[in-house]
Amino acid sequence: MIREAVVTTLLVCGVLVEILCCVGLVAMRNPLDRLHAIAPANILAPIFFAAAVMVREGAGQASVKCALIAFVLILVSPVISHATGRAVWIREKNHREHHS
Amino acid sequence: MNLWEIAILILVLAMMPAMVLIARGRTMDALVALEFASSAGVLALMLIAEDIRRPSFLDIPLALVLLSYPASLLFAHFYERWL
Repeated sequence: MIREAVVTTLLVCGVLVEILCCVGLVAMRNPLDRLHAIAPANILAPIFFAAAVMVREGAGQASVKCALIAFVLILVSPVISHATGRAVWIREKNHREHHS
Repeated sequence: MNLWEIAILILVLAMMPAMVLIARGRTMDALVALEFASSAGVLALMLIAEDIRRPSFLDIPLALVLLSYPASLLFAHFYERWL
């Protein structure tokens, strides 16, 4: 019973994070602002969902794989965000230099 | 419809605005939306595998997250100045 309540709470938290990030993605106007808006979807949501699976399944294959997926997502998403932000910055810099 | 299926449905629905942004937005907005859509897709696949209780299906989101990483990096690298 308690386990189900914990799983439900974790799932609802993960879904809320995704919805808020989606709203942020649409509401922001600048690519860099949008990058900030989607960051929680790459960090917090995998933690919540993997924790939900781990609480539901206990120790086992599913828990290990979900933890691995969340770990990889948390590891690579800052790198991708950095590369995207750098690309945005370089493009805007080139654009400014062309028009000045 | 259990809670996991509702979560999957919301995740897929959350990908829709990102799809619109990828199709119609400016280049860098589309790249950011692609990043969001790929992570939401990974999480949706993870929840699907857990919902139908097939741990072996969790290899699919694992492969997707490992493949979307170099894809996004390459996109970002080439959009810096060449495209």
